[in-house]
Amino acid sequence: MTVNDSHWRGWFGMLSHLCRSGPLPWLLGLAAMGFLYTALIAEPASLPAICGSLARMDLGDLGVVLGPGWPAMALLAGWLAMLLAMMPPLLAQPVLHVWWSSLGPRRPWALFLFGSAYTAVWTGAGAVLIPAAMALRLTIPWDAAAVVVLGLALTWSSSPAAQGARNRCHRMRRIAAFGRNADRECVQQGLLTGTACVAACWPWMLLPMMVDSIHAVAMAAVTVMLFVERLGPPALPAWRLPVAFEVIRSLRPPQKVLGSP
Amino acid sequence: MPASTSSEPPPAATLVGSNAEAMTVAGVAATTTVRIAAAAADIAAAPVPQRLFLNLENIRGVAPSGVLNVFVSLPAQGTMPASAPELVDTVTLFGLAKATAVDGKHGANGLTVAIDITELAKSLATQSQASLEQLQVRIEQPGGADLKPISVGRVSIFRQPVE
Repeated sequence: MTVNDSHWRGWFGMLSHLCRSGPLPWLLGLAAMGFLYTALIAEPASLPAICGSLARMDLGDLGVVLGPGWPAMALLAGWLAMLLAMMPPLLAQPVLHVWWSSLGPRRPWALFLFGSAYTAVWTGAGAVLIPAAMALRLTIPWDAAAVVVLGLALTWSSSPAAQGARNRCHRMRRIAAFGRNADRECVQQGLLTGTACVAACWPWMLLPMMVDSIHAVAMAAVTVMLFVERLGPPALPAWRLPVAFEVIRSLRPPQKVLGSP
Repeated sequence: MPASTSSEPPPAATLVGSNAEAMTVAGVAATTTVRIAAAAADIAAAPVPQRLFLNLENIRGVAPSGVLNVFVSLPAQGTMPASAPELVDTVTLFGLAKATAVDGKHGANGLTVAIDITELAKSLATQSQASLEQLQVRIEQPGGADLKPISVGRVSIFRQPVE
């Protein structure tokens, strides 16, 4: 077994521990709620439907479409539903950190502060990513948009910048037990985790907005991809195959050494 | 406290207090005050015998290794003067730089050390004739002024029931 394989098996051990005694089951429940809400949002108010409708317009009509009746709240609701569906499984480690770093009675408040700061970062990112998704749907033929974005996401995941961001996802800062320091540091942890998460995941969040009829399937596939990436240990930032490919490779049975029983 | 073997997992330890800010230890010792939650401060009144652990969390530094002397005392409280600092442990930090590296397997979170201070806490509580609301923790690097700084992210107290 190589050193890298032992790292991966150590992380699968942590995953097993999180499932048995940590927050992962609860976070998966939250994600399920997000998927349910996404499935129940009626067309044409869903985020991919709005993006998809843009793809079938002429650029000249855009000024008429982006008028006072533009469904900004529908976009925000769709974006938040996507976050609720896709992000909780990635937060097992920081949620556990906030939980164990806080005194018992403070834990719900600490988690609320952490979650609010994290969501605020992703909401700000949505203000950039949603228009970017719209621009992509307008400029790229609609049946090629998903392929282009998938290529972008795989390239980003292979890059040193993405590895640096994934390294920062593992950083757990101090959280005081009492007073305003405790509140401030929960918010700081949420901001840190959110910023690193956006930096690592941003192109993947464009992908579900590139497909209409299989939006939920795309969300589920991206969630699994990001979860597997999140399992990856910190590493030297360098160009390498996407983390998911290394995880799949590490699942192979260990190679037998010649001469060993 | 003698160890015992068991097939059951150890009881969960719970946080009962921490200091307010991170601290840095270089050539000069650094001191911090650890505040303990009121519900946990009266060790003698606990319904189940407890162990107390002093945790030094997120110990980070650029040196390949390091040594920290950890002293615990009672701060001055009202008419009661501060107690003399007592050495609870000398902590050796092998792999400190690796644990601090951003691309290392510790995720730049550094090292964490737990020190059993049960007996000391009991004697301090007996000495002060009161519950332990605060402890003063002094950390120093032995060996002179030319030492690279070591930061301690949080100093905390955990309580664990004795099986």
